[in-house]
Amino acid sequence: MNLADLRASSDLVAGLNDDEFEFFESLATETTLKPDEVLFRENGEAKRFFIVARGILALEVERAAKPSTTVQTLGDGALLGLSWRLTPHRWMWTARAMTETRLAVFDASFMRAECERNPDLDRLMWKAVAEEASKRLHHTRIQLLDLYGSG
Amino acid sequence: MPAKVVSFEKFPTLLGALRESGHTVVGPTIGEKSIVYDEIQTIDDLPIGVGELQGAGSYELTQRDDNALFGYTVGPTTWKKYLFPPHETLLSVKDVDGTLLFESTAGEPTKYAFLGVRPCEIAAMEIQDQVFIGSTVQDPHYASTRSAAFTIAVNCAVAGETCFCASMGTGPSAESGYDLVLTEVIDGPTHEFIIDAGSTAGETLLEDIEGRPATDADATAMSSIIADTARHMGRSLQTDDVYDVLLSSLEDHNWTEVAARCLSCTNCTLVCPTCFCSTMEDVTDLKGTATRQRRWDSCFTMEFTNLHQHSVRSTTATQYRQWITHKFAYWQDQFDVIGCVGCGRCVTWCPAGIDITDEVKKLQAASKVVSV
Amino acid sequence: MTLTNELDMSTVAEPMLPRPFRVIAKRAETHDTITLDLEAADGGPPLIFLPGQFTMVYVHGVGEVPLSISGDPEQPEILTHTVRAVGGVTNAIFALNHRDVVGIRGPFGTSWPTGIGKDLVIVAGGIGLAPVRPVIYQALAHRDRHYCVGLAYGARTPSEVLYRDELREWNDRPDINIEVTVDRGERGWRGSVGVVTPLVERLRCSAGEAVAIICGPEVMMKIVARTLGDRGVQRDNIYVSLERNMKCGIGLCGHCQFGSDFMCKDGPVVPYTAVEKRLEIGSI
Repeated sequence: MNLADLRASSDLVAGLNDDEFEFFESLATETTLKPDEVLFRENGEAKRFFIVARGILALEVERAAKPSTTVQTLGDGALLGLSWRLTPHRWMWTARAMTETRLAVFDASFMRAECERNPDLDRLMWKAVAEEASKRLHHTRIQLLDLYGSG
Repeated sequence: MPAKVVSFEKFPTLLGALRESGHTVVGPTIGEKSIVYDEIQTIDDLPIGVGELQGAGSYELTQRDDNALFGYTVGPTTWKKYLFPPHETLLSVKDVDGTLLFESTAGEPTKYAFLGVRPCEIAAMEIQDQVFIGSTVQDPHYASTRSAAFTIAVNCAVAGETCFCASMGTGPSAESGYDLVLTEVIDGPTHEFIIDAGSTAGETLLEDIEGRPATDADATAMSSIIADTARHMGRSLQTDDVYDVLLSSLEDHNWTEVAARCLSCTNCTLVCPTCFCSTMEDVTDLKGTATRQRRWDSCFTMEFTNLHQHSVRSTTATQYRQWITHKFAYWQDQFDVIGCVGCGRCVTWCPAGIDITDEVKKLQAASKVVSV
Repeated sequence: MTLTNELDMSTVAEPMLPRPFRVIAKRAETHDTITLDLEAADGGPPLIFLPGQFTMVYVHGVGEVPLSISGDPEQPEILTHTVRAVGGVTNAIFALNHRDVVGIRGPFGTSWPTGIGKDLVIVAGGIGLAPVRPVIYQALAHRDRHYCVGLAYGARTPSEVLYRDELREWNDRPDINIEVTVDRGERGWRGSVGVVTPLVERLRCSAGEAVAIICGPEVMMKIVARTLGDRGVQRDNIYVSLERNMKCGIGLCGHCQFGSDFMCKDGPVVPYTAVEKRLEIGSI
C-alpha cells in the first residue's frame, strides 16, 4: 500500500528512513470500512495492527444493559491495536468505524518475527508503541479531569 | 516666601485659620489607647506631650517630659480613611418604568485639612494617586476629596522602632507634596514650629499666622533634628535588589515558615497606607432601590481570588507571598515605584509580630546562597 | 493642593456607572448555559467591542460579574453574552426573561489578535467557545485575511456542545475547518471522543504560519499551548484568555491581579509566553 500520505499524519511513518519506509509499504495492505463496521472486537486475538489513513474509529467497550460506550476515537495517523506488541496479544477494546475509514493493515506475527531478527526495527516499533500508549494515557488523564464540568 | 517660626502659644491660630477657610481639620488624637486620625477642634484634641513605644506586634503610648504636639510617629489609622474611605457608596440603582436608572452618588467632597501628615504618608498618598487618579481610569470620589484637601506635613523629630522611611527614601523629612510643612523645635523653654509653604494656598494661609521670619539658626536646628531622626531608624532595608529577589523566590519552600506564623488576619493590609484593594457590594432596600458600595478588602481573605467554587490563592503561604511580592516587586511594574513607604505599621500591628523587613532580608540572604 | 497628577474634574466620569441594557432574545444552549441578546435601553450608542473583550454585567439587587462578549463585533447593536449558571449572579442571569433590564459596563480588557495574513487556529474547550466566537465571525466576514481558518472544539458531552446549529452551518462551509470532540460520548454521537489536542492536527493549517487562539479551562489551555508549540506553532503567536475574580473591571479593586498584570486591563487575552512561567508556578 502506498503510505506517502501517512507521512503527514503519522509520527511513526514520518520517522522512517528510506529502507524502513520501503519495508513498511511492502508489508502494508489497505482496508476500507463502512460506517458502523467493526474492525476488531474486544478480547479477540491481536493478529494485526493498523495505522488510520483517513477517518474516525471509535474504541468501545460492551456494558451490561447499556449501549456500548465509546472511550476514545482515533483519527488520521493513529497507531491502532497496541496489543499486537504486548502479551497476552488480545484486543482490549472493540474498534468500530464512525465514518468511512481507510486503514493500513500490518500482520502482527510477521512484524514480531521481523523485530526479533532486526534490532533497529524492534527499537522503532517499541518506540512507536510506547509513544502511542503514553499519549493515550496522557489524554485519558485529561479526560478524567472533567475540565469542562461545572465543579 | 521664606519660612516662618510660630510659637507654641500661637499654634491655635493655625487651627483657627484652617477652620475659617472652611476646612474640617483632621489629625492625630488619642483614641482606643493609640494615636488615631480624627476631627481636631482645638489644640487640646492633639496628643500633647504624648510619646510612643512601638515594636513588632506591640504599641504603647508613653508620657513625654515636654509638651510636644507631634512627639510620636504613626498609629493604626492612615489618611486613606478620608481619601479612600472604608465604606463608600458609589452609585444608586432604581427600578423605574421597566428600566434601571443608574446614578452616581459622588457629591460635594468634604474639605479636609490634614494636620500632621508624616513624610512617609505623603509618599503613600502620592502612590495611591497613581492608583486612583492614574493614567487610564480616575476615581471621581478620590479625585475630588484629594483636590479639596489641604495638607499640613510634619517633619519627624522622633524615629519609631519599626520605622524605616530612610531606607525607602520617603523621609524623615518632606520635600514636596504639601501645602504647609512644620518642624517642631523644643529647646529648653523654647517651643516653636518652623513652618514653610509648599503651595500658593499654603502661602496664603501662612501670611495670616503670627510669627517671626526663620533664620539660619532655625534652618540649622531643623536639619539637625531631621538628621538625628534619620540616624535613629528602628529598622532598615536594602531596596536595590528586592525586585529580582522576590521574583526569583516564588517557589513554595520560601513561604512555609512565614505561613506557619501568619494568621491571615488582614491587619497589615488594613493599616498599610498604600494598600488599595476593595470589593463591591450591591445592597438593596425593600423598596427596590439598590446601592453599590465599595468596601476595603484584603488579599489575605479566602474569597479574594474566588473563581467558581475555589480560590486561586487559598493558603496563607500563597497569600503572604502575594502581599509582599506585590508590595516590593509587582508594584514596580505597575506604578514605577516600590509600594512600601517604610512606615512600619504592618510590623507594629501584626499580632504575630511578623516583620516585613526581616522577611525581605531572609529572602535576600537565601537568594545570595543560591546564586553562589 | 499640589497633586502629582493635575486633574480636570470636568472630564472625570463615574467609571463604575452601568448603562441599562434590555434582553431581546434568550436561547438555551445546554441545561445550564444560555445565550442572551441585549440592546441598549437608554437610547445611547451600541457597545463597540473587539473579540476577546468582556463587560461587567449587573443584575438588579444581586450583583455584577465579568462576562465575555460572544457576539458579532460587526453587529454591535446586539450585545450577546453566553452565560453558564455557576454562582449567585450567573444563576440570576440564567433566570432573566425577555424585556428584563440589566446594567452593562464596558467593554473592558485586551482583545484577540486579528492574525491578518496568518492561518487562524482556534482551540476552544467548554464555555471557552463563547469568547472566541467573535473571532470566528470576524474571520468569516474578512475571509481573505487568512489562508486557513480552523476551529477545534472540545465539550464535555454531546448535549453540552454550544452553538450546535452554527457549528453545523460552519462545518458545511468550505472556507473553515471545524472539528468537534467530547470527553464522553452519548447515544447517537458519531463524532470524536477524546481530548481536543489531536483535533488540531486535523485542521490542516500550517503550524509555522499560524496564530493560535486558545480558550478554555486553564489546564486545557496550558496543554494545548505546549502541544502547539511542540508542533511548530511559533510560541509568540500563541494566545490564551485567563479568567480571574473581578469586582471593578477597571484596575482599581486589585482582585484580578496575576503577578504584575491586572487581568481586567492587561488581559484577559495574553500571549502564552508572557504567562507560561506564572501558570507553572501556580497560585500566583
